[in-house]
This record gives sequence, C-alpha cells and structure tokens, in this order.
Amino acid sequence: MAHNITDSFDSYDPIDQDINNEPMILQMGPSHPATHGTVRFTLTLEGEKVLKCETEVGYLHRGFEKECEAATWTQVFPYTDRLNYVSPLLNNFGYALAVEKLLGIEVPDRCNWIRTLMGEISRLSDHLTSIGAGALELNAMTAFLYAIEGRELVWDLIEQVTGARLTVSYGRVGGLKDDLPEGFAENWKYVRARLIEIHAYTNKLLTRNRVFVDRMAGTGVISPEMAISYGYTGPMLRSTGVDYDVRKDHPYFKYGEVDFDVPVGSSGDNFDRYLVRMEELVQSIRIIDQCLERMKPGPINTDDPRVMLPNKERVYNSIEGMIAHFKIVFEGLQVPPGEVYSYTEAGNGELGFYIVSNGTGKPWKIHVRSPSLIMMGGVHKLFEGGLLSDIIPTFDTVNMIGGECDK
Amino acid sequence: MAKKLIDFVQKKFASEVLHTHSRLGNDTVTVKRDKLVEIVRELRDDPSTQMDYLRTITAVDYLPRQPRFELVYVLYSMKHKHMLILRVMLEDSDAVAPSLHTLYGTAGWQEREVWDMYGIRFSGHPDLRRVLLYEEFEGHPLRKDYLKQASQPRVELLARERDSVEEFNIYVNDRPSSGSRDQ
Amino acid sequence: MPKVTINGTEIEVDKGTTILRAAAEAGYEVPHFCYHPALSIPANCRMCLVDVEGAGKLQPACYSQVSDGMVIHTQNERVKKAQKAVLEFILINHPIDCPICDQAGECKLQDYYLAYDAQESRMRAEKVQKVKVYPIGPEVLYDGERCILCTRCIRFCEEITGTNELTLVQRGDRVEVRNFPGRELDNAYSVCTTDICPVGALTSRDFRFKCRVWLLTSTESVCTGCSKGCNIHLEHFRNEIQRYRPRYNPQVNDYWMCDAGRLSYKEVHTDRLLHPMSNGAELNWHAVAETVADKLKRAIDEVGVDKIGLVLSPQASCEDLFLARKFASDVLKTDRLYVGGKPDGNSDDFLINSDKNPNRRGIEAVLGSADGAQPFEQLAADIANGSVQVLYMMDAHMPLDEAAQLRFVESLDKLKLFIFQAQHHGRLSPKAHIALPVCSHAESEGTFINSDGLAQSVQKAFNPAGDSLPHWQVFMRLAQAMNQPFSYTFVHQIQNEMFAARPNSVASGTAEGVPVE
Repeated sequence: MAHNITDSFDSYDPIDQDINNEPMILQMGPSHPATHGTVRFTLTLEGEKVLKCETEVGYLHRGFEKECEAATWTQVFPYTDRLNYVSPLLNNFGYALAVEKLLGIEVPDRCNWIRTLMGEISRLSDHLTSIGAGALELNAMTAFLYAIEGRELVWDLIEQVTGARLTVSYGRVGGLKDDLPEGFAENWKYVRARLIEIHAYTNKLLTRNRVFVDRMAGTGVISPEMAISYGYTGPMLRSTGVDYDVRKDHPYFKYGEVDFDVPVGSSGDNFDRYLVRMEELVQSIRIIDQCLERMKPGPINTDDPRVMLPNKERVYNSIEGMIAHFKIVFEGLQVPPGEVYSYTEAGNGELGFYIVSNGTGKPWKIHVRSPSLIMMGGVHKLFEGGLLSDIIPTFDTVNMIGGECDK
Repeated sequence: MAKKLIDFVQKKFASEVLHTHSRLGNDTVTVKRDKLVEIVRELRDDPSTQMDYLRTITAVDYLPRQPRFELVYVLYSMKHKHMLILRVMLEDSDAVAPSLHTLYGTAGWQEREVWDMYGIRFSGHPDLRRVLLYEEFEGHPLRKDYLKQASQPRVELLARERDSVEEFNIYVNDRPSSGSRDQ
Repeated sequence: MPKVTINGTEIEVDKGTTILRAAAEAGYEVPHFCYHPALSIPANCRMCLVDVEGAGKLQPACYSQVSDGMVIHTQNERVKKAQKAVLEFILINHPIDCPICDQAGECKLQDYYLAYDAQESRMRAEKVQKVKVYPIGPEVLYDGERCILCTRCIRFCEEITGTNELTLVQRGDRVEVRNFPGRELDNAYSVCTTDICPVGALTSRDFRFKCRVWLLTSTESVCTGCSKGCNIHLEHFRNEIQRYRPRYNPQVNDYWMCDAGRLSYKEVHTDRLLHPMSNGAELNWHAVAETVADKLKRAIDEVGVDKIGLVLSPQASCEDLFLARKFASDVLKTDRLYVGGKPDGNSDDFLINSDKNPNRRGIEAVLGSADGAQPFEQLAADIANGSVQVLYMMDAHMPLDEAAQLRFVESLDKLKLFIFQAQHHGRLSPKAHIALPVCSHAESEGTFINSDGLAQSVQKAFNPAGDSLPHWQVFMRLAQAMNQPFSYTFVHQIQNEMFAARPNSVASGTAEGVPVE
C-alpha cells in the first residue's frame, strides 16, 4: 500500500472530533418491535432528543380505492373491514351510510339502533386495544392482559352477531346482514359486568401509577390550534380540549336520541389521550345500555327491492325474486349518479367517505378520509423536541392502524 | 344556514365561481383555480365562516370527460359546525393546482397523496413526493387509464445493496453450513 | 316537421317518426320487447305503452307516429301502472331459470323487471309447463316456457331471410313458436334469431352452457370468415373466444351475420402452430431468426435472388401485408409475389361472399394494383419448372381444389428452402424447413379491407397463444437478424406509413350512432 499510515495517523487528532457536534440519523422501523403497525421514522437525533422526524408510510398499501372501483357497491364491504381492522363494524356502517345518502333511502328504526349498538361495541374493542397495547409497550403486561381479555369478550359478542371476529362484513347497503341473535342482551350483561371490572382494574393499575404517569404526562403534547390545522380528530383532538365529536355535532344513526357525554382533555398530552379513551369506554357502555333498552322488534332492512336482496324463499320460488337477486348480485345495485361526502366517528376519529357514482352498479370513485393517514401527516409535530423514548407512548396513543393508514 | 357559505363565496368572489349546488346536504362550490388560495384563506379567516379544519383533499378522474380532473376540498368549521366543499376542475394537459400547505398543516400530506394517486401537481408545495407508494412506481394508480392488473417493473437493487447481497453470496458459498449435503 | 312534447321536453322530429324513436331522441328510454328497428312492427308485447294526451287509451310507442303538438308522457303513473301490469303478466308463466339460462345477464326481461316493475307477483297458480328443449333447427334450440311470444324470430325469417320457417301454434297460455311441419330453422342466418330473442327462449347450440355472459369481455372486431367483413363483438374469456355477436353497422351488415361466419372463431383455436420450428425441432424466436437468416443467405448464394418466391396471404391484415411486401423488396430483394388464401366457397345475395378471404382488397391496396402479385396456380407451375426454388409462404391455406392441393404439397419437395409462416399446421407444416407461428386477428391489431373497399380496424382481444407473433413482428425479427432492421415499434407507425403511401385506396367504415335495439 503506497499510502503512508504514520502520516495519516499523525494528522488525526481525536480531541478535535466532538462526537456531539453532528446530529445522528436513526432509522426507526419499518419493523420496529415497539411500533405496532409498519411505519418508518427517519429520526435526526441530538443525543436522545429528536430534532426532526420524517415519517414514511405505505408499507401496507393494498390499493383499497382502486379495488373498490372494480367491485360492485356491495362487494366493497369486505374491503372496508380491512381499513381499521380493530373496529371493522364502524367502517362498514360508515360506508353503508354514505351509499344510502347517495341512494336517498332510509333504513328502518331497528337497523339504526343495531348500528349504533354494534358500532359502540366495536369502539370498545378499538379503545381497549389502544390502551392495552399502549400499556404493554411501556412494560405494563398486566394491564395489557386485562384489556385484551376485555377485547376477547367483546369479540365473542361480535362473533355471535356477525359470525366473524375481525373481518365481519356485517353492514349492508340499506340494512344489515342479520338481526341480533337470541340471548344477546343476557350475553351483554355478562360482558358488561366484566368490562366494568376490567375498567376498574386498569384504572387502578395505570391511572395513578407513578411510572406510567411519568412516561405519559407531558409527552407528545400538541396544542388545539395545531391539532385542528393538522386535521386531528377523535380522541387525539379531544385530548386538547376541543369537544368535536361527529356523533354529537352531526348525529347520525341514533346518536341524537341517546344520552352520552363527550370527554375532553386539557393539555393534549399522552396522558390526556389515555384518560379520554378510558372515559369513552364508559360512555360507550352507556350508549349500548340505552340501545338495548330502547330498540323494538321490527324489520332491519329497507324494503326497497332495488337495494335489498330478496329473501331466499322468494329467490328459489318466484321468478320475480330470482331476477332481483340476479341483477343485484351480478350488476350491483344501481346508485344514481352524483357525489357525496359522508362522515362518521370511527375509533380513531372522523372516518369520511367521498363517493362518486356514475349511475352504474360499480362505484366510480371511493375516497376514504382515513383518520390514521391524516394523523401520520402531523405526527412529527408530536415527536420533535421530545425524547427518543417518548416516541413509544406517543405513537401508541396516536393509535395508527396500518390498514386504515395505508389503504 | 344552508346556503350561507355558498352565498359568502359568491358575494366575495363572484367572478371565480363557476357552479354551485347543495345536493344531499353537501354545499358545493366549483371555483376557478387561480384564486383558490385567496378563497380558502378568506373562508378560513373570516369570523363568520372560520373554516379552520380541512377535512380532506381528493381528486376524481372523469376520463374521458374534459376537463378531466376534479379536485375536491372539504372544509369545516369547528366553531360554526358548517361544511363546504370546494371543487376545482383541471385539464389533463395542465394538471396543476396551487398548494394550500401554508393555510393548513394537513394539506401538505394530503396533497402528496393526490399527487401519488392522480399525478396532479401542486405548485408551491415544498416536498411533493409520493406518500403511499414508492418512488420508483410508474404511473398514478387511481387514474382511470391505469389498468388494475398493470404490473410494475422490478426495482433494481441500489449499488450498495447489491454489493452486500453479493458479499453475502460469496460468504455463503465459501462456508457451506454444517448441515449441507456438499460436505 | 312535427313538434312534440315528451315528458315536458319539446323536440322537433321528422314526419313519420314513431313515439319510441322520438322519445329516444329526447333522451327517454321506452321499454319494448317485440319492436326491433330492422323488423316490421306488430305492437304485440304492449311493453311500450305511453300516455298520449287526448288519446284516451294508452298508445303503443313503437307503432304510433307522432303528430304536431302531441303531448306524450312516458313516465307518469298511468304508464308505470301499465308497465307493471305487462311485466307481471309476462312473468306469470316464466320459469325460474335464470341460473341455468344462457341469456341471464343480457336479458331484457331481467333488466325491465328491476327497472319498471320490482314488485311481487299476485299470481298463485301453477306455471304452465311447456317444452324445454325443442330442436327447432340445427344450430338453435327452443325453450317454450321462457318464450314471451314477441314474434321477433318469426318476423326475422319472414322479412330478412325470406325463408318463412317459423310460426305460432296453439292458443292462449299454450302458444309456442314452432317450425312448419317438414321444415327446420336451417337458413344460413338462423343463429341471428338467438341474438334478437329478448329472453333466453332461443339459444345457440354452440354457445349453450359454455360461458356466463357477465364473464365475457367484448372486443370490437371484424369477422374473417369471408370478404364481406361483418362487424362483430368478439367475446372472449380466459384467452379463448367464446362467441361472435354481430355489431351494428349499416354500411356492412346491419344487425346480422351468417352462421358460418359466426362459427369461424373455432379456427382460431384449432390446429395452431405454437412454437417456431426448424426441421421439426422447437426453437425460440432468437435462435430461429438466426437460423432463417443463415439458411436464406446460403440458399440465395446457391440459387440466386430471382428464384425466391413469397406468397402473400389475403387472410392477413394490411399492416402484415405491408411489411411482407417491404420484406420481399428490401430484404429478399425479390418481386416474385404470389397470392395465397382460401379457395372460393358458397355465396348468397345477402352477406355471404364467395371469396373466403377477408383482405383480398388489402393486397391490392398494399401493392397498389390488382396484378402486382401472380395467382397461386402460377406458383405451382413455377415450382414445377424450377423457377422458384426458395419459397416463403404466409398462411397454411391454398386456393386450390382438393386434388391440386395434394399435388402442390407433393411438389414442395423440390424446393431448396421452404419457410412457412402461419397460424395453423395445415398440410404444409410437415414440409416446412422452418415453421414460424403467427397469431390470429383476435390476438393482434390490424386493418382489413372488405369487398366493398371499406377499411375496418380490428382490436387486440387477448395475448397471443404460445410463442406466436403477428406477421409484421415476425418480419421485423427476421429483418433484424438479416441486418436490415425496420424501425417500427407500434402498429400505428406502420399504419401512418401505409396510409401515407396509398392515401386514396381505402375508405374508412365505422358505424355512427347507437341504434335502439
């Protein structure tokens, strides 16, 4: 080697090289064990302090919107299940509501009650997962087990109603797949009692836990103005003190008739988001109780033959039913041309559908305003200025769901 | 309250408004592209409207109709609880719109999504990259002329990635594992 | 010109226009079963009843002509009630056949039921049983229960083919369509009755139970069965043509096509040459192009340029022929061109031409004159007397009678080199030193010029079978291998050059407007 080693060694003065001068670039993800959901942060660190964060999403992109354009209006339901897969019922009903607006049809009273009820049950599963997984990643295994036990109970209920635990496809345009099964109210009573116990245990384990509070309080803070500007909705926005809740402000289904409160935080930090979710669990249980008390027997599907599939007896025994079945299944229901923006409150915030129909059996366009994707657009604001370790609890309370974020 | 927002835009920007309707409870105004930023700023800052929350930005491809694209902005006011949809028509040959990133934090990210999916550019956007797809992706998938079954070219490894793969292969070839049949 | 008001829309139409046509012009659909624009109007289905102010009773829109100042409602309550009643009546005896009916998915009864009726039947009586599979003709089967007695098929046989095979028999709810005793529905256009049948009563034997119609993809194409060039919907599923269906074009075939042409799609999928072969061994395109270049070079050195012949096929598209000619003149440097193709067949005075080659006029257009190429008989003679020793042949067909074909195949043994480029094996591929597979009109784009001089384009429906390529791409590959490459990438580049070379030789034929069917 022609290079003179001693020369270069002489010119190297370790004292001159201050290792803290240059910020460190750290790749976090895409498959980081503490970030549930596949997402990559490119962090610029000064010591442990996060100076800059670049977010990269899309690892779970499945072309939801493109697939929808090739499916009939009814065939979109299974795809919506896979948006926010922790609360698929809310997506189902949100999409059904949008198409019903465009069709200009009303669903029967009982259908609205069941949608309200099942939607809240789904919200329970969403919040329990968020709280449980959040605690787990801060090493609180016990709280996680309680929360997941609660979620299992909720999923058992969902399974009784829909036949599936996760990808339920329970919604239909103009109604539902099926009515509630017999004995649902009794099962709910059992689940309800256990959920209240679980809520109390979790509360005891976490809310006044020194370690938990130190990690959560004062981290991931965002101001109300910033949250609105970045399009934050749901528990994220409410933790900053803005009481925006689609269920309250623009009631749909039966939310206008039931009594519930919208919990709000004050400081917009992780701890407030945790408290808001804890309180929303209680409110959801309240709503479910009222639904079960007030719903009356009756039809669950609209009687418009152009929208609803005829029952099987008619399909097999009359040519009228057979034709209706054939046309709706193979050509899809005919939605009049037009466009509508319809929005509901999903687990993570406002879930909006902007749908365009050209008057055929297939959607011309379905755009989903997924709360997770929009929150990920502003998530760097929560990280920057904080510590590297604070990213873990902050990302938990943001509760990004890969399916919904990446579409 | 129904038509208040439409009237507001029509009064202040009479020459910019192309079309209005309020079907299905969605108050909608179609405006010209050039003064979009001014219109949105006015809607955001005027105390009677205060549209402080940009719900969503999306686009619709109406191929083969001309103008082909339609940009859709859904605005909302947290204070007054009212909503307005702004639409902007874009020609295929000139699919550029002004960016709203100075007005709303969320606009930058959502405009990236529209660029990613529809190939509509946003002038003045500081960082117009793809958001859900990867940089090497060819075409814009939500355009109607992008076939659903279309396949993408294989992305070549970067030189440094290729080196490491080759190094790994050399390493493995030199040292067959203990369970290998070659031994 | 009379001015009429339809549902509040005022519209001026020609004198003698029917209400149905006027409504279509104004943008309103009037449902109808028995009316067909190419047939006479019996007004027997009563589906198209509309309300004409001052007329008292509802009027059939297909039959009634407009008069000045008429006020017509096609969507008011009276009309809707009548439509519901008519559909309920028609469905009384309709069997629950949709799952096993070939028409399901393109059935007017299905469409109209959901659009205009959508209610339950009040009838509780048993449905009348009728014949389910009646062989009404060699290509067509009849299902009496599905029939709604619109008489379109009967009128088709009376008015279009003039063969009068069909009639109605029996009375009341037992009426059926039947052939006259001793006759069958065996005219040359019989399958057209299944197209115009609004329900699944008449079904084609060929297409029966073959594929559900909503799975089909339809591509606009042209029939290659004869030189008439009937416009068709080429309907395919999983890279296989399932059926041809006539496409409306008043300049060529109106709404019809012949049965032979309709079944000519089968050729596309039988006896296909799928891989390039050299003396019976399969090769890839790269290797075979090298082999051809090498063999051609040696053969030319041996026998001289003037002993090379090239057979142009009138089965190929204009683009293919254009490159074939270019290949002959630029690469092979020969002017010994011959015309191949199929031998003549039967003909009639309607749509069937005796020339069974779709693009004979294309050869004339590409060569610039009718006598630029010599007839095939001349080729047989030239091979016999040794003035052609290297033959490059497009297509497996020979315009010769049976005995002459066998003699011709025999005589190919004399050739020094026989390059065979075709879609099918036929009789010639065993004799070929080199066999090159090409694809059908369904697998490539192209232009065909029919016997009336109309240039009609064909769209690519699916990807070529096996290793086959369009003729023009094969010529490109060979020219490349022989170091005289052509600079084309897309078909339209060839088209531009072709039309620039011969601007006035062809007229473009496309159908304008969509008819009410």
